[in-house]
Parts: sequence; C-alpha cells; structure tokens
Amino acid sequence: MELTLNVRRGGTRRSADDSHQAYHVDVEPETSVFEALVKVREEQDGTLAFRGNCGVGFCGDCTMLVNGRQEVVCLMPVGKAQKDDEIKIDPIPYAPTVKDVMYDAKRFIWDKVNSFSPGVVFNGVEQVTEEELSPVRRAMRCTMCGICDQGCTVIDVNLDFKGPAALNKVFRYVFDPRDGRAKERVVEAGETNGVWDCVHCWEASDHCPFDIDPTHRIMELRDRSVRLGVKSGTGNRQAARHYNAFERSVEHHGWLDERNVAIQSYGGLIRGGLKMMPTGLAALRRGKANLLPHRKRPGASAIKALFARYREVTRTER
Amino acid sequence: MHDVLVVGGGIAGLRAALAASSRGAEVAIASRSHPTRSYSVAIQDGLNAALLPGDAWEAHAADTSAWGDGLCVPEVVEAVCRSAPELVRELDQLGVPFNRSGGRNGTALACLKLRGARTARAAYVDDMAGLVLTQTLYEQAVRAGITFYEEWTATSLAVGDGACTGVVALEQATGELQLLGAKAVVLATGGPRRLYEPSTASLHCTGDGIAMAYRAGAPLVDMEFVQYHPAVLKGQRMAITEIAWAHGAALATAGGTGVGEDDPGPGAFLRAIGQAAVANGGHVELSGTWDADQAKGLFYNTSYRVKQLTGLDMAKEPLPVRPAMHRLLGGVAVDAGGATSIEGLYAAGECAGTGFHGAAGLDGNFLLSAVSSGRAAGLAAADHASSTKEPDAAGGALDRDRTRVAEALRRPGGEPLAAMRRELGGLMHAHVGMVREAVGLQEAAQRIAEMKETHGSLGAGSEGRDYNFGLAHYLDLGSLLDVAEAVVASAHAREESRGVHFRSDHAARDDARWSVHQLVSASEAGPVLRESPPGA
Amino acid sequence: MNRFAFYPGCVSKGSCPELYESVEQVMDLLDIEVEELTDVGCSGAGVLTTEVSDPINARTLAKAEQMGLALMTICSTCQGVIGAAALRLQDPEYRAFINKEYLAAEGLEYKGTTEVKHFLWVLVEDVGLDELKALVRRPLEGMGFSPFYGCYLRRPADVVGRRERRTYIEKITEVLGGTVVNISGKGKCCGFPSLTINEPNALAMTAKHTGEAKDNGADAMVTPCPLCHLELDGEQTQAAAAARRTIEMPILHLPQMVGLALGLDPKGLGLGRHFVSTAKIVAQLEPVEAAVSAT
Repeated sequence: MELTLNVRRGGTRRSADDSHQAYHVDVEPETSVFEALVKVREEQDGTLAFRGNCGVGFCGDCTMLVNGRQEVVCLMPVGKAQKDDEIKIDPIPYAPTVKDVMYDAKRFIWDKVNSFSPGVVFNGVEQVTEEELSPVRRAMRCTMCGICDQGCTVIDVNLDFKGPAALNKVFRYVFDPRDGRAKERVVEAGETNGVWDCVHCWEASDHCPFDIDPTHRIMELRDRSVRLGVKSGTGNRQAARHYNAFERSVEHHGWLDERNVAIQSYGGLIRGGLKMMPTGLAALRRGKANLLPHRKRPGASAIKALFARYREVTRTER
Repeated sequence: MHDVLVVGGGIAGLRAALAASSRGAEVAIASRSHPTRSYSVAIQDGLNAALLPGDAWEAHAADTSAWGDGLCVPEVVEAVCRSAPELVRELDQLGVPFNRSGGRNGTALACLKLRGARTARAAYVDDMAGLVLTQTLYEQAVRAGITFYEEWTATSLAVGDGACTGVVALEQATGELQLLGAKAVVLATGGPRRLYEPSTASLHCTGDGIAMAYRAGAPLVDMEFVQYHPAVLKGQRMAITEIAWAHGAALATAGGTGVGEDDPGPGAFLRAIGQAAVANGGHVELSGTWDADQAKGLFYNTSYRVKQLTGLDMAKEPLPVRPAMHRLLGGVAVDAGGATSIEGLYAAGECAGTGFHGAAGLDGNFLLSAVSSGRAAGLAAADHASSTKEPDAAGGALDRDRTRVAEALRRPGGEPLAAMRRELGGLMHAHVGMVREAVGLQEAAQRIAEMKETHGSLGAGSEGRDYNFGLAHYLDLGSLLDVAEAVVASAHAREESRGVHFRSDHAARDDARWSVHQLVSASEAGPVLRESPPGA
Repeated sequence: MNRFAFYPGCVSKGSCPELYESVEQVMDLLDIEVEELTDVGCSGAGVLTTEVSDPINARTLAKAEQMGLALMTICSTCQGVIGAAALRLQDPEYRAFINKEYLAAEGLEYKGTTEVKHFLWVLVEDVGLDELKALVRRPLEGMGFSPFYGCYLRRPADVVGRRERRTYIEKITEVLGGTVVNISGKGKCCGFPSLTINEPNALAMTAKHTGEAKDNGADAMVTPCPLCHLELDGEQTQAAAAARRTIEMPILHLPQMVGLALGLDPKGLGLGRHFVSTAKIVAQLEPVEAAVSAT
C-alpha cells in the first residue's frame, strides 16, 4: 500500500507546532511501522533519527507516538496504524527529545533503573520454587520500552519520579528469593520519587504492552516493604509518617480521620496544625468539617481485632 | 586505556565483561545500542546442559557432535558440554529465574527436549531466555562497575606490531571517531544475518566485528555453514520459538500433509520445509495442540507478538511460516580460550568460529555457546591484559578511519545503497542459502565483487555528524560485503554436502576429502582459503 | 425499587459531608433504598497493605452478603480498593485463608458473592438513563461539565469491569441536559494520594486538570470521588498559585450535579460548602418552577 509517514523532525526543543516531514513509501499492510521507517531511512533520508533494533518487540528501543498513541512500533503493522493512508510519528512526550523521534532513554529510563542497586546479590538460597520465581519472571518480561512511564501520571508532572519501569525492576530483586538485600532495596525504593510517590492510578498497568501489570507490582512492593518494617526511605520520613497516621486512625477508630491523618502526616500537631491552618479554617467557615475529630464507630473494636490478628499472622509467617 | 574492551553488549559480550571483571581487570563495553537493546534479547529458546538425573555431559556432547555432522571440534565440545551445568547454575545465581519443574513447589531446574537432543536438556526461562539473560547480565555488569560506551559503533581494530591495542569507534551522537585503547579486545558483535533476506536479523546483525577482524588479517573459519530457522513468520522476521516446538508444534502444507516429521537431520529437515513452502505458495502452516491457557502460559511472549504482528491467535489458528536465515555457524577463528590469530584480540558468541557447532547447530546450544565462549574469552582477555604492558596507542587506524568517514560523508548514498542491500539479500538467499551449486556461487562471487567496487564510490548521502544513519548504513553494507565474500568463497570450495551446507552438485558427504575446516583470509586479490583438519 | 448495602466511606462522613447529604436526597428521588453499613472499616484506600486491608474488606463484603444485597459505594477509591479485594477473594484458597484467619473469630464467613457497585454505575445500570431523564426537572442547559472519574473508576480493567463504565459521567451529563466538556486528564490521578507525601506533585496534577477544564471552557468539573473533590476543590487555590495562574473551577460531586437537575435546592445539596465558589453555577440555574412550566 502507498503510505505517507509524517515524521516529526527537529532537535531537543519541542513545541506544539513541531514540523513534520512527509515520506512516501510503498509497503505491505502487514509491514510494521518500524520496518517502514527503516525503509525510509535507508532509501530516502539517512538523517532521520529514531531507535530500534530487533524488530520483534524484545529490545524495547523503538517506542514512539503513532497517531498520538504510544506504541512499540515494530509490533504495529502499518495497515492497523494508518488513517487514510497516513501515519503521524512523534517522539513520546513525557521524555526529553534528542533528535527527530528519538527520546532521551538515559534520562527517562536508564539513570532511574540504575539508581537502584542493580544485580541480584546471591544469598546462598538454592532451593527456590516455581511459585516464588514465576512472579519474578513475569516482571522480567519487561523490555524497558518505556510505555508505562509514558502513561505515568506522576512522571507527567515530575520527570524525576522513578516510574513504574524502574520500580518493577526493584520488584524483580525484592521478590527474588535468591537476593539477600530485600530490606536495603525497599529502603532505597522508599526515598523521595520512589515507591511511596506512586499514586496507584493504574495507568501503568493499563499501558504495559506485556501484561506485567506494573502498578500491581508497585503495590506488592509496598506491601512487602511494610512487611519488612519499612515504610519509607531514610531521607523520606514523610511517607512513613503518613502510613503510620493512616494505620493508627483505622486501627483505633475503624475509620479514617482525614484531618487528623493529614496533621500527623505533616509531623504532628504543631507543624501539621500550622500547615493545615488555612485550609482548616476555610473548611470550618464553610461548614465543611465538624469541629470534633471522628468518634469511634460501632465496628471499631472488631477492626482493631483484625489488626491484632494481622500482626500475629504476619509475625508467624515472617 | 582499558584493560579489557568488549565490543558488543549482548549476552556473549556481557558475560565476557563479567568474567574479565571477576579476574580483577578494568573493563569497558562498547555497543551500538544500549546493551539490553541488543539482538540477544530476541533469542527465545533455552540452554542445553546435562542437568537432569540420568543425563550426562557425554550424552550432550554426543548429540552435539552427531548434529554437527562430523565437523565439531571435539575438545571444544567436551569443554562446553562439561561446563554447561555449571554455567547454567552460575546464571541462576546471578539472578536468571530459570523455570522449575514439579509444580508450584518444585525446585529442580526444568528442562525441555529440543530437536536433536535425545533427552530433555534445555533449561529455559518461559519463552524469553535471551531477554532475561541479557537483562540479568546487564544488571550484574552495572553492579560490577563496568564502563559503558553506549551507541558507539566500532569501525576498525587498532593493530600494531601484530597485536590489537583497541578499536576505533564512532560515537553516534556526535559522529566523532575515537580510539578506545585496550590491552585486550573481545569481539562479541554477533552474526551477519542482514546478509540474507528473509532472515531473523536485527538491524545491528551486520557481521561488523567479523568484517573488522577479517580486514585486520585474522582468518575466519567455517564460513560456509549458514543455518536457517525452520519457522519464521511469513513476511516478518520473527522465528516461532523452539519452546513451542518442544510443546508439540508441527508443520504441514495447506493440504494437511506433514512436513519434516521424521526428523532426518538438520539440513534435510530445513530443505524439506523450504521446498514445501515454495510448492505451497511461500509458506507452510505451523500449529500445535496447545489451548489458549497453555499458549498464554507456556509462550506468552511469542503468542502476544504473533497476535500483534499478524492478528492470528496461536491457540486457535495455524501460523504461516517459512524458513529464513538465522545463524552463521562460523566466524572469527578462535582457540578454546577465544583467542584469535591476532595477539590481544579475542572473539565470543555468534561472531566467533569456535568449532562447537560443527556443520549444524543444535537448538539450545547457541545461548549456551554465547555464555560459554563469552566467559572463556573474558577470562583469557583479562589474563592477557594482566601480563601486558600498556601498549603504544596505534594511531594509524584512527587516521585511516577519520579519512574514510570524512570521504564517505561527502559521497552520495541512500537508494543506491538500499538497492544494493536488497539485491545482496536476495542473491545470498537464492545462491548461498539452503541449496547451493557451483554456477550460482560463482555468480554470487562475481556480483559481490562488483558491489564492493560500487560500494567504494558511495557514501553516507549527507554530511551531518549527529546520528547519521546513512553513514551507519554505508559502513554496515561494507561489513556485509566483506563477510559475504568469505561465505561465498568457502561455500564454493566445499564440494560436498554436510550439515546445513548442501551442494546440489555435490549432494553427498565426502569424509575422505572434506573432514576439514576452511579458514578464509582477506587479501588484495580477494579471499584466500586454506584448510585445517578438525581439532587443529 | 433498588436496594443496596451502603458503604458511604470515611470522607463523606468527614470532610465532605455535602456528598453524604446530597446522595441521600438524590437516592430518595430515584427510589434507591439503602441500608447503611455502620460497623465496618475503612477500605485502606490503597495506602494500607493489602495484608490488613483485605481482611477488613472481606468483613465488609461478608456483612453485605449476609444482607443479601450488593454493596454500593460513593467513592472511586472505596470502590476500587474493595472491588480489587473482592476480585482477589474470588480465589477459593485465598478466601478460605482470610475466612479462617480473620473472619471466623467473629463468626463471619465470606462466600465470594457480593457485587460492589459505585453510585455512578447504579445510576446507569440499575436506575437507568431513561428513568433518570424522566425525573429531570431543571435541565442543565447551557452549562458545560468536565467529567473527572477518579482513577479507580477507570482502571484496572478487571476491577472496573464493563468498558462502557468509562463514559458513564458523560452519558449522565447529557441526559441531565448539560454539555460535556472533555478534558484529556479525565481519567487521570487528581493528585490526592500524593498530597501528604509529595505535595508539589499533587498540586501540579490538580493545576493541570482544573486548568485544562478552564481552558476548554467548562463551567464546572464533576466527580464521583470525594478524594478527587478534596484535592481538586480544596487544593485548587494552592495549585493555581504554584502554577502561577488563576483557575477558579467549581468542582461538583456527582450527586450534586444530579440533584440540581432533579430540581433540588443548591444550598441543601451543599454547594455553599466548597472551597472554590459555586456561585456562578448556582446563578446559571433556572428556577425549578420555570423549568417545569417550560416543559
């Protein structure tokens, strides 16, 4: 089929009216967008910059926007991608752009992945089961294509957030029974811009092409953190304060007392109270909140008992 | 100046770097892409090792040698098969989550029976061993503090006084050439799959390391042995994994006639599929007895990609497949420690001619070979570096390449280069593919010589330096032509059929004359061949 | 008559009393009868480890099951977290573990049958859009609303269920006579989960979404999640300041928007209790009598 590929050209600076160059190619409908671009680059324009190598969806290097949607373009046939025989190609927007449709993978992915101590540190455990390893294997389907990070609501506003791809990598270590550094790793992952900054919006799971379900992996990493007695990194006490305040509220009242949790999260009555004062006063003025903290609910003692049981159960398993 | 410089960031390269580092060497890796973007990640099958009770390395070696059709180097086969279980366990402890057998609570390494093995012998990681090995070795390489030159393309070996003292490499982001000096260099640059069309090639499978060694005077070995993959998706470069085969995939023509069922050995098997595909309108049909859950569980990575690429559901529909070029079994001639004929230069993985595969490679032996040859070369390179004084940086190669690139940047490229590569792919497939004969080989040799001539008058097509892919394409085609010349010459000379090398004009195996390896070296007058008996 | 076990969630009983009050009034008009579960616990909101929140939620699900009713939530987060727990508890082995270790002590057992439904879904699937349309007494004509779902009513797909649930707010807005003003961030995170952990992130998200609604010309945003409301309404002023712009985008709870169209009094629906003034919205409303006489 005769196709027009409108490909974004230019350097690092992005703008709404980035210029696109039209390339005309004749390819089969089942040809991938990647192969079509390679054809353009080899036959028409060797200056066109994009990455990609394997062509079969394993190297994860060819992520681009295809008609506004992020795709691993070697797995996207042109017949499926085209609209009226045209395909618009742009670099993924959350990452800095290097040239044309090439994004800065070092900044977007690798610096973050490698900021967590890499490599399993063998702890001598040789007898590991299929049940223990299969979640690790699922996490390791990851090709670092960056599509989950491209969907991440937090990276959208803060490029320094480690993002689901890097945190999924931490999962891979922490849940590998042969690794001896689980506790150090969850502390590392708990620093600012780490696992506790995830807003569990499930976008990552929605985006991941390889069914890794990264949001779930992040939540499991948090659960494992709590199990290991770690609720934040050493430089990120805020996360632990928030967790503990939340837990205290539910444990003792059965319910969440948002204002009290907020005050506690901000570091106790004095600091937290001051921080909360403007919002709190406005809320009172509008009759939005009661003056008194929540009272205990009828089920409170039963919930407290569940917490007690939870501590027993997780202790025996630990 | 590095102690050890590894060229190539795939499985063999990473394993070599880790091995060298474990000996205390200071190590760097230069790779065309980020290491985990290497071709290695697309390898889906497993690693053969005699791991199960009742199996033995001798049986593994016997299967390997039988498949290799009399041309495996016995010492290498013994060394690799003996060490295979240890190599797998080592990977396991580095963090590769190999599948276990015995249900949810099973802890023993699981093994699959792949084609050509008498017993279940391939350790595997679902259907993504290549991806997981590469990721795991990369994790460990970062942990070991190895230096990475990412997106650097090696262009030449720096050789002075008969010793390799580094490589000249092009930094893609700037287009600048630099000499990366090293006391020892390990080539782990992969195979030249892009020579052929169709093939399973990644863009970077250009045989550039083989070509660099060849140009620097190192002989290549076993270059006539080019192995096709039996089942590559029609119109695509994706091979249907051996893991699916181990779970009962079968091939048939559209009429339902089984193809290649009685397992007549690698060459005949591949040719039968090739012939059936031609007779059947370009493909045969692959199907299995698995259901949807099995397809998702056993080979999720395959079925997902097949669905994306073709819209077909592996669990329900047959897949149109045909053979496509997969691997070169030969490469830069090396000894058991990975040493080439050039002092300080080592080679590992697909670019190395180790003699392990002989005339046909066994499924499950390729990843094993990458790991084993990587480790061996890394250790040998580190030892060499520790006993070598810092060599004078040989600047000649750098100056030559700077001139070569500067000139190429001014010459036209684009479509004439692309046309040449298309022609080369078709030519190699038609005349130097699964079936060869003298006339076709001579024709191929003739055309390749002409193309080399034309190639010299072409170039990058544009003068920009940053990420100039036209320049990369030009340099790659040069590598491919060099390798093509060696493959054709070797295939032409071997007037017999053996393993995956089939000559329709010499259809029988001729042990009396051809129980030898062929070494091929570059010269002004073209490739020069000589023979060495197996094991020599 | 639709009957549900009602799980109002913490926030509608705390910082967003106007949500509780408005949903009660709207349920009356829609003939939805509920039995409120008063002795159950907080869902854990995705903050607490599932090791403790799953038992708490299993207990809630078991109580609804005993009543023979589906569980209705009015908070995207409650819905998502309890819904996800219900999905995990479909695994017989896991359910048996939770029953044995946690619920048995109270003489409870969860059999895995409770359906968990957000009020938004109930409106479309149980009340029905036709029925809703028939009850409109003050069409929201000429008013533009940007939907804002809250993550858990969009994802994960297996917990949310039917795909069309991802466009219910738009459908309801249209049935009520309003205009849908689309925003790209309608299914994204409001920022609330990050508010006490990484405030700049939270505020940036809030500014982005409310700013987009303003730029696209919405009169208000409407959300079925009180946590989104706390964030988009309560933090909007700070967010706008951090983003160096003015936004002043009113944020309505879903039942408030429905209530307005059904002719309920804005004050009674708690529109005066928001941080960002809703006065402009209220001023745009037709008097109910006029609306009725016009039809």
